[in-house]
Amino acid sequence: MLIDFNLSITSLPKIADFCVVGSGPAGMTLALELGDYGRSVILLEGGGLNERTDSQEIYKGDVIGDPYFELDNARLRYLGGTSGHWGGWCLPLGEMDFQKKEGFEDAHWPIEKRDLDPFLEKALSILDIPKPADDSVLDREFGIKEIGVSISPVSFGEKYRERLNSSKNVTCVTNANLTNLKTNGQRIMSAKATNFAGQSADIKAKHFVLAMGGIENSRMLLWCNHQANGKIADPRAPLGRYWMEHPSFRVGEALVDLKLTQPVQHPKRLVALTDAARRKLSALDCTIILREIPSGDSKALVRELLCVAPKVGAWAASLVGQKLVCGARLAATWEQEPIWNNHLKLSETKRDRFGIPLTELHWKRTHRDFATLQKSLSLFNDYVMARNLGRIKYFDWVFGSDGLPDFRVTGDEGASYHHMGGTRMANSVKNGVVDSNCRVFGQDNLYVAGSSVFPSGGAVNPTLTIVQLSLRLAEHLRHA
Amino acid sequence: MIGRVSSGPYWKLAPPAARFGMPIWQTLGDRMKIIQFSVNAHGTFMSKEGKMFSRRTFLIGFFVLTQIGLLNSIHNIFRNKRSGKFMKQGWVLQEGDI
Repeated sequence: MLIDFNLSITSLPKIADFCVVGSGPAGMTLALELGDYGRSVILLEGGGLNERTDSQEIYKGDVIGDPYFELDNARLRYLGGTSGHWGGWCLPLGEMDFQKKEGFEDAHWPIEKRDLDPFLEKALSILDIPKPADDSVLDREFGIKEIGVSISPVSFGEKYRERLNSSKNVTCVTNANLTNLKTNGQRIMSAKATNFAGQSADIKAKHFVLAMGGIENSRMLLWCNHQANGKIADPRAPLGRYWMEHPSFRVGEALVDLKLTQPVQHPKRLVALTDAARRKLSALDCTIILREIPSGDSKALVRELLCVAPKVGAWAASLVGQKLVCGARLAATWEQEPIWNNHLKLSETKRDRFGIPLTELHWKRTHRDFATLQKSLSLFNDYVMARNLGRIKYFDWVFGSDGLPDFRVTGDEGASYHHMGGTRMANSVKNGVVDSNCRVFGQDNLYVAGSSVFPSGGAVNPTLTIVQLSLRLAEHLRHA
Repeated sequence: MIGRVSSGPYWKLAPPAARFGMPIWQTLGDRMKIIQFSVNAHGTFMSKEGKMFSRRTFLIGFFVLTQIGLLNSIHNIFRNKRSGKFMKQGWVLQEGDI
């Protein structure tokens, strides 16, 4: 059933087995799955059925540190959440992404890939995609592999709206903004929902799940914890800390053998370092994206190479003529090391229409993040040259000492709109906010779903993992 | 009169942490304390704590450090030459490309 909380606050069911807050990929998956298990669910969505300015304004915030997107542009606040404008790229995290990595003590999960594997098939069907091709090693000696990707067409709000409307177990309430959580110190007793007219209602449930996204989960937990005088989150927990993105930049151009640019199932070729190569280089994950450029641009690149290096330029020109070599643009998206200093906090000066402090994001990329990029690109170049697959032209900053450029100057995205961390998963409260079952340490019935629980982000788009985690959480909660 | 010097084994100059295999940068603070010395009126090297070091110890240490730096530079030059790679206007090239 779909209810507009702006129109009626009396038709809202006041009690259910589960209260899930947020209807993006994480919350929607979880609510529908629990509904399928025959459990009653109230799904609260702060926005409406479509994008609206008054709802979107609540996502405003300040960024302190490196240049970043406006926070209200980086996500959507209505039914289906940010899946309303995502690119749809789906890739699973690799085994090494979950494991401990020497030199990066905080970049590991308390669970393993095999804990999420049982939920892959169902996640793929939810996202309407085939299974991405398994990684295939292109060169074992250098440690270069190709990674598969599937593109999901699903906008959760559009695809699942009718199913929500006809669901007997799930009541989706739009324009219902979470404004407080009441706790007795061990259990959440009720959630307070407020509509845009300022009218409120308390919702009681056996279990509460926050699934509001990689920024809002932290903001609301920080706020509710503040309201509850610190009785919700353990003071030792790094709430709001270890926030991460995937830095993303164009890094150069190349004239390369066609077999390097023509993937089987996607217009872009994605390559990465194998686990062995990453261990050897002590680098985090990095995805290198090759995209073929039009033949006119390829010829311009050949002319440039002919001027710079006549011999190899002549070689490239002859192969371009035979359509064996083509021009390609190189981009890279890579893993950011989770560090304490990158964090979300409540603004001390700005509040939203409900009186809740807006977000203040403190975010910087470190020289270690830059080193992951440089090491990965250097190894990829060694592979291309050693196997006589072409020549690469990197932008000046890539191997310079000045660090990453300002994306507003270079025209890059700079990051990937992937918000991870803040309520990270860990085995102990000193290292995380939630346990391996996504339960908030210190609360018996409060859970968090979504990418905010990621303790490390790999270099792949997070949505497939988010859906897998939600299915896993539903499996855990169905017996609760 | 030149101050009397006790010139023990060189590793006695290193802080304890360095002797037990800690990374050099972690011991840098300790090392800095040792090499912060001054020359008194008698030409004796005095550390901040008032310990004395001989000119010979200082010169040997200085010589060893410069040689390490020199060897490191030579090693880097030869490593780059061995790989045969170089950058020209952004292109990563190797010998024979030009």
